[in-house]
Amino acid sequence: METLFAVLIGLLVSAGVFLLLSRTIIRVVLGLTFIAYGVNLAILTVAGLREESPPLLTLEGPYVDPLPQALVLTAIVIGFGTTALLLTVALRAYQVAGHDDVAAFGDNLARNPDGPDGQHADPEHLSPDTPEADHGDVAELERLRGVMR
Amino acid sequence: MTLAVLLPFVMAAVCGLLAGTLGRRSGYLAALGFVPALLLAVPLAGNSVEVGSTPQTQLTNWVPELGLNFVFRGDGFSLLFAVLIGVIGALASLYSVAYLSERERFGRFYPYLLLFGGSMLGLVLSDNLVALFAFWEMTSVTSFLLIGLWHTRSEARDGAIKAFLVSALGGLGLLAAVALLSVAGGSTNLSELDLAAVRASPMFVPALLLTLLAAFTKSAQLPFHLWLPTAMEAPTPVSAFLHSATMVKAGVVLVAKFGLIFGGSALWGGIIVPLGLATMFWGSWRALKQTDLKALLAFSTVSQLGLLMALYGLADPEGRFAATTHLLNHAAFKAALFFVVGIIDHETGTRETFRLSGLRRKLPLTFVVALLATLSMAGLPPLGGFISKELFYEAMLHAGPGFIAVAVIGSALTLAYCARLIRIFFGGFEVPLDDGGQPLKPAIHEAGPGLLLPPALLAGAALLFGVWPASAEWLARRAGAALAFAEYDGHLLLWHGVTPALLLTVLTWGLAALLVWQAARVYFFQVHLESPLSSNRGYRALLGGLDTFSSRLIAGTQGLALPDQLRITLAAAGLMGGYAVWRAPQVFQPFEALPLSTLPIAVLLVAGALGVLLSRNRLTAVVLTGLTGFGSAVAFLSMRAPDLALTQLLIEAVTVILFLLVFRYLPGFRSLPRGRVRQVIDVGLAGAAGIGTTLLILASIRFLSPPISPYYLENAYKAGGGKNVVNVILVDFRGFDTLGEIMVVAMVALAVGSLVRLGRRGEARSERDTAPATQDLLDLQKRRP
Repeated sequence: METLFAVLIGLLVSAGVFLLLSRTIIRVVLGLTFIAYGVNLAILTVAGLREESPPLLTLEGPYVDPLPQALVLTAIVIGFGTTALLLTVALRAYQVAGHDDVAAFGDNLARNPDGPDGQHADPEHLSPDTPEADHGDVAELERLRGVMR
Repeated sequence: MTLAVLLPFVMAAVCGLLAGTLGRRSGYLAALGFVPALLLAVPLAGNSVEVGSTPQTQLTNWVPELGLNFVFRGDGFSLLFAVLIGVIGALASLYSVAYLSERERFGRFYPYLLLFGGSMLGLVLSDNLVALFAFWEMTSVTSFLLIGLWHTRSEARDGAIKAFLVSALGGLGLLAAVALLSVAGGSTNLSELDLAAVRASPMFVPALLLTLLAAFTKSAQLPFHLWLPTAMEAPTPVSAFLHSATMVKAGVVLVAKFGLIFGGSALWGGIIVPLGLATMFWGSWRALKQTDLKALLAFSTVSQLGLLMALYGLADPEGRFAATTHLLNHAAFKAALFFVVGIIDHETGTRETFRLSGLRRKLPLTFVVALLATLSMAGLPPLGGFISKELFYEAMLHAGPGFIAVAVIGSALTLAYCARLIRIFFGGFEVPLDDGGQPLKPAIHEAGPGLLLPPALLAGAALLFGVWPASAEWLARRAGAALAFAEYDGHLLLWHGVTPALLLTVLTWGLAALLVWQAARVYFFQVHLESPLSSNRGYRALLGGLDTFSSRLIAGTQGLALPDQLRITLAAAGLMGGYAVWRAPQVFQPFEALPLSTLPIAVLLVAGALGVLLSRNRLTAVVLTGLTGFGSAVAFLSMRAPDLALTQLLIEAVTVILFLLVFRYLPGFRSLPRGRVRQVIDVGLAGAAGIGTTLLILASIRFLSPPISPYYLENAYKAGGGKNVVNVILVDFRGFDTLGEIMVVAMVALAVGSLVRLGRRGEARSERDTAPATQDLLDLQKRRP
């Protein structure tokens, strides 16, 4: 039983790692999700899998270990939070950079800050990646503001 | 004793608070901080340090489980040193009152000085090795602050950083040495170490070498002497305190105290004595070359520390006795000389030897003090320095002819630079001029009592040690029991007949006379002789090299594209995890007794994972991810965890919805090529991660310690009033944990919300965002004819 699950978890983790290393941003998020699945199962497996009652005192004992279950319950929720945040960050990154290729995202540490995506993380300055249409929209807004005044 | 260590720290706070109102007068308060240290003279003079009596110990618990306690042990040597620190510290504080200008930032100067004094007292009195290390590091930090006090000058910053780097390197060595010693000796207290076990342990030699690294860096021995001369950027009273009597002697103290542990080893003396003598020679050679009085004194200190090291390194009673005597003498004359140089600097505005002459006409009292201290430094009768130098020769005679030669040449050079130093008082008086030919100070007159008294007292002590040697002997004997030379019956005498040592002294004087007679030529020769090896050059190269190396390392490993960054990180994590797996025993259970219910679980989990890897469509990918999620929910059921299964199902549903929401804005699920090499690396990494995880789980299935779960099962209903133990754990036993979890989820919600709001394309990204109301207004305006 434990051995089987250990092998299954190994498969999940390796799939997760492979996805994590890919260039598409969505795959990266999915990769982390898979690693989280694996780890959650691993916590329970390590505690030992026994043919006993679930830890509900209404049933007859002996019971399985309740502690790892409590830990995993927290882990599931936190894992969901992580996924949600990552997804939105991924979305935002795509909107700012204009593409979803993780390998081409630059930052201040990029060896070539003048490269196509060597943007500085400064919200006040539009990224060179932002499609031209955006600038047009900004100009339109400014014009409307002028109308307001 | 605890008070003696504590009070300087308390007074530091007081001085810092009152500096604004008291100004330079806070120096008197600072001197008060050293009073308890001075009062340690009472037990020192008493019987508590005689042979056979146990030294008094004061214990304050810190972390007793780890053997970290403040154990202050007042044996003779520690007390002697503490009193020395107290005396010089108090004198330096009083001297500073007269020396520093009104505009000095006293809110920093005296607190730093007191913090340093307190750390130093803790260092010499501490019997606990870990506390000793902590105090050791504190002296490094406080001396950094003191040297860099005038931080507007780049030399001061440079000197402070140099001193700190070098002594911090030694501090790390000391930490390792302390760890090794306490493991090998079975105690963290120096006096309780099992010496036999330490000597027999394989850690003996590493601990010895690391201790030496610490001692040599702190006491500015070759090749670590480079920081002391640049430390002269500190204000002069600080130099007198730190660089003559206390901080630089910390290494000597270490060698003296640990000599009882390591002394039996040939390696100990074999390293210390040659290096100490080499330092003595090199220091005096460089000192002879200096034109700045303070730099001359700095190199002289390097040289004298070398002499002390060599004597303690001999690790025999005779050497320790001689060294302790010389330690007293050195503290007296060197601090006095620093004070004198401070006076000269203060009154004439320069420290350059070639600008000064005939000062005895203008500064007669200073001249007397300087003469006494210099004679002691030169080792001339009838001063204390002469006596301890005779002892040094005696000790070196037993060490070997090569050592004798170095000792004689070093002493001759010492005499020569002393002559250079004292020459500024002779000759016709000339007003010191600056480079433009203008006088530096309009009128030169004798210093006030505040400046003169401290060096006068110290010079008086130097004279007393010479004229009445029994006083110095009595003091040095106090340390006898602690340093195991109590049985040694050497006596201090000014005239001890014609001995080999006396002949050597005469030889020294002859050499020195030659050097002084040909002073100009010697100086010329020195200036034109370039040393092929320079510690400073090495230091610069090392720093530059480190800079270059770290820049390249960062450029090569950081700021890469995310996948490459992850590859490096995962490879490193894999190596560490792999080592853990390799060390752990595996537990294999046969596959036989598998219930049939596990088959669908396995199928679900694997199908989902493989499907996502192969899918070319983002919707498929998300649905398949959900498949794995449901698989793990079923797995939770089979593991007897109904709550987890429920939660997993719920979360799975929400996750899928979230993905679908985000897909509205994201592009298609294209697969970007990785390149062939990276593909291979990734498959390797993924495989290694999977296999490693499997093995790690198999290795962890054994119970490493008894489970704590029975407690929860027993108390869930009694204490928490719930029958679902998992829920009770979450909301009762670990309630704060769950609260934190809720906070995390709430923060994520906020972040997601704001990011999504930001993400509406083509809108301004600030509070000037057009709010809906404004939009309505705009519409209204447009409709108007």
